[in-house]
Amino acid sequence: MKIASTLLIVCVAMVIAVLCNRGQASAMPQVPARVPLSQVLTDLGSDSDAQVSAALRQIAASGNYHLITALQAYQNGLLAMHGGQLVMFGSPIMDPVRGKLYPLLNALTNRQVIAHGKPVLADSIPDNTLAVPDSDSDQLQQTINTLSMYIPGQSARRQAIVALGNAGSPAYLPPLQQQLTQHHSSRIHRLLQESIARILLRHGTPAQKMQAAVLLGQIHSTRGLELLKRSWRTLRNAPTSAMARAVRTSIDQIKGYTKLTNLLFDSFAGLSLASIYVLIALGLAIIFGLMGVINMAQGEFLTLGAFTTFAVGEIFKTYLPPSDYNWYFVCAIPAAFLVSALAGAICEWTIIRRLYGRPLETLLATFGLSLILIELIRVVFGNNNAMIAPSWLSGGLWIMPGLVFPKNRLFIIVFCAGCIIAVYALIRKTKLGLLLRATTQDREMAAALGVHTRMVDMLTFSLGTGLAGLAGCAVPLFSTLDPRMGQSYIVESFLVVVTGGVGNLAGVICAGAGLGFLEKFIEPWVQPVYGKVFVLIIVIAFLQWKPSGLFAAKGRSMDH
Amino acid sequence: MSGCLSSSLQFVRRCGRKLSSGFSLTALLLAGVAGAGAAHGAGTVKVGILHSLTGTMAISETSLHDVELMAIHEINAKGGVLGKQIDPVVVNPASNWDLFAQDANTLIEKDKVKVIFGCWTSVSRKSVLPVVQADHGLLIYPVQYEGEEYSPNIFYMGAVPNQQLIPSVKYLMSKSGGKRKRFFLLGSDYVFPRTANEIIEGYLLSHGVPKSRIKVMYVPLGYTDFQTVVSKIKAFAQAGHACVLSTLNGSSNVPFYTEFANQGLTAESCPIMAYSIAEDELRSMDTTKLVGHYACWNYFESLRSKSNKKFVRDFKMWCMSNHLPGGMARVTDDPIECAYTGVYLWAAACEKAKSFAPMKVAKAMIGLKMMTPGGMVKVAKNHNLYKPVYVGKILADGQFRIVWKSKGWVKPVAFSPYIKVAMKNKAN
Repeated sequence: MKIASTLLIVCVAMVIAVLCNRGQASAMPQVPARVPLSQVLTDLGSDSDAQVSAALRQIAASGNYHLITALQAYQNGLLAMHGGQLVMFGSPIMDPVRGKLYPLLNALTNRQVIAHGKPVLADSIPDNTLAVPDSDSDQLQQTINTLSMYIPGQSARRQAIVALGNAGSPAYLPPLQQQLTQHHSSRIHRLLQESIARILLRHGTPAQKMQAAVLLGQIHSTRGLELLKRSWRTLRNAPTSAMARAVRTSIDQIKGYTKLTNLLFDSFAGLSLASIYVLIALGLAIIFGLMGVINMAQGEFLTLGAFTTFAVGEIFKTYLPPSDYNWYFVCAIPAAFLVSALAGAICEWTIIRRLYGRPLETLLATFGLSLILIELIRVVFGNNNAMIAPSWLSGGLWIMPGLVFPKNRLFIIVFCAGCIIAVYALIRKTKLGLLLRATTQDREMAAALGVHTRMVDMLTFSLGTGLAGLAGCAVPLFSTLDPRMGQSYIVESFLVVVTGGVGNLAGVICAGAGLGFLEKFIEPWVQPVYGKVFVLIIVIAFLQWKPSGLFAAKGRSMDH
Repeated sequence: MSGCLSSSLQFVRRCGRKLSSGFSLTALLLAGVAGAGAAHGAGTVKVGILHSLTGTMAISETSLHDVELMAIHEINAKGGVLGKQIDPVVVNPASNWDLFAQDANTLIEKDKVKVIFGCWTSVSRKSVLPVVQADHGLLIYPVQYEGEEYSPNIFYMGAVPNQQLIPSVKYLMSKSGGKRKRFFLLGSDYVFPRTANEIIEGYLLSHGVPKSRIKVMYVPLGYTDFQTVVSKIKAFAQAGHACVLSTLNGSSNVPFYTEFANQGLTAESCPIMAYSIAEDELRSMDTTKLVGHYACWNYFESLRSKSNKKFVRDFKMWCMSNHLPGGMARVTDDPIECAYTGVYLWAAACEKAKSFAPMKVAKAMIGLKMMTPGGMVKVAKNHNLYKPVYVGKILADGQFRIVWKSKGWVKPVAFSPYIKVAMKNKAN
């Protein structure tokens, strides 16, 4: 801590020195007054590479982050001279008559260019947009990075700071060190320290190098690990020197920290995969486990749920304002359940009901049903569809340095827990649950007591397919949406149900969790291809030892 | 029983698919008539179209089938080849490799087609290869592939490794590509990624990239849980200047890019160069998560040449007027352009040879030059094409902005010298 604070003081001193020299002390230094910014920007269109380079230097020094849009447009070949002023081509809008149109924006103000009272629209991006000279492409990126540090948004600023550290040029030290005096958000502060230390470790004086090495270890900088290892290799001849010892300690500190974050991440990954397994197996646990129906079309009910979600999204996109789009997912959850449950009820009524007690025929019929459903979905929706996740389910939640939990995975864990609770409540606490249990445990007795067993069968089956629909709602959040998607989950569902013990919901949950964790804890050690092989070998060995699965079965399937 | 069931199901699937396109329906009927032993129509020449219209590969191959029929229609409208109308015989091998060989055999021996346009996966091509060789047929193969193959009876329209893999890696190592120094090679576990990664690894090793900065990983086909893989990439990318070279196939791509974005990796910090993603695949992805990542091909829909603008418009119109799914929203991409070029090259070779005999046509093919939507191409002696190479960056609307193009043609080298380098390194 002491060294860190010393370093901080040194940095502050250096910053003050730099600032005094430049005579600029504001948080956002302005463009030198003698050259107007518009003139500088226009220089980007110059034929001389040196003039472009000088213009970029001035823009970087201005700290004016509003210019980033223009620079990025320049980078993407979207900047052009138009009637003596610099314009960029905005993202295209669809015109019913003229097709795709690109609005012209003023590069300096980012406002639409207006002519004769109407915004100017281009049919296509012309070939003569300004091209970045090859020798300046690096500098352009650096200018964007430097300016990005001034953006009020946190995430862009973080990325910019890391990018400057990656570039590793001592030219970035002054702006970074100046920022260090400005910000107090601990995350940004840490990144600034890290980037400065990474630059100093390469280019600093021996004393600075030493401090940088120590600091990198203290803040557990995984980004600095490679650099530290490199300097360790050069120091191996003198392993007892103070520098070598500092580097060695820092490497160990970082490695220890990485082990911790890896463990946490693997546990999270295991939990999220376990949730997915449980979610997709839950419906099958009821249909195969409790009712004893081998439903090969279970995966397609999942697909049906997924495409219902997609359809709800499309309806929202077409009929509601874009601001409401984020909420389509909430509406899609009950819709997916209902559509799949209804489809399940129809299938039960028309096909499955006629085949009770004939497992081989059921297997064949449901296999055929799955093929019909796949091609039916293909005919209706076509092959290539993209489901866009709502923004509250995109991105990740930052936990600690080096550890980010994706939001869609967190959602699935919560969603799965919700489904498990709902299913338990339904089976244990409701009348329907009571009838369901009665029918599956002793059909004749239940019928004798006046239970309409046929109706209960239908409801049970549609509950099972409805649950598959719910899983289908969640699966496209992290996977593909295509008519055959259900096929890739059917094997896993049966695996979980059989391992858990046919006919037992608790078994399904334990088996799903077990398989998920097993897979995610094996995978870091071997290639993913072999990870799956190991998991399957372990499952086979387990079933040899306990053929009826984790929990002994209680259900109709065992009565026969 | 199950065979009967599956074949009758296949019939149902065939018809279901066919009904969606009026033109192919007639083609199927024609095929049926021809199969029943009808005499060859006077003034027509039969060609085979061998693409999966159902099953896993339908998602990619259907577009090739569509564009080949369009090219044939165009040629016929201009008077056909050597004064004869082209008569396409469409078969559906349904993503089944054995069926590819069987269907190729039927096409050549029974339907007497003069050429087959077909296949996508390397395994399907390899199963057709012995058939066309034994029957002295001709196969025009439209997709980029791993090289390491030569057959007197096959012409390869797509890129070989040095026309796609090597230029893209060169670009990433260059200044404008961000001077990448660390390479994560990620692929699905089958022949193309395995060979491609050998070649890339060999290239990198022989260009001074140390082994510790190259990481190779494979996932099973259809793999979807990329949590651990992405966290490994993240750790690998921490030191900066990293990139991913992805030969992931099909349904693995969406979950990979989603996880990549959600774990906080960006195209600036660690761009992905993909070899199996083109405009057609982007239609099924949330492109906002892909902006800034790369792909390398010999053709992009966004090429600004006049011939390409016409090609794109014609294809969209074709899809719309034939009521194909997607209609005007359909896009063109590299394999689609290659399939289109293939039909025209064959027609030009027939004119040059003044014959439809496959072996004479094959001889006439060599050295043929042609202006295609992707630029000028020339057929090389090794049956591949001299063609230009482009690197594109993904835009939010699912199109590519071309950031690099080769200076003129790149000569096709089917047998890569870099495989030996990688092998030697393993032996050591």
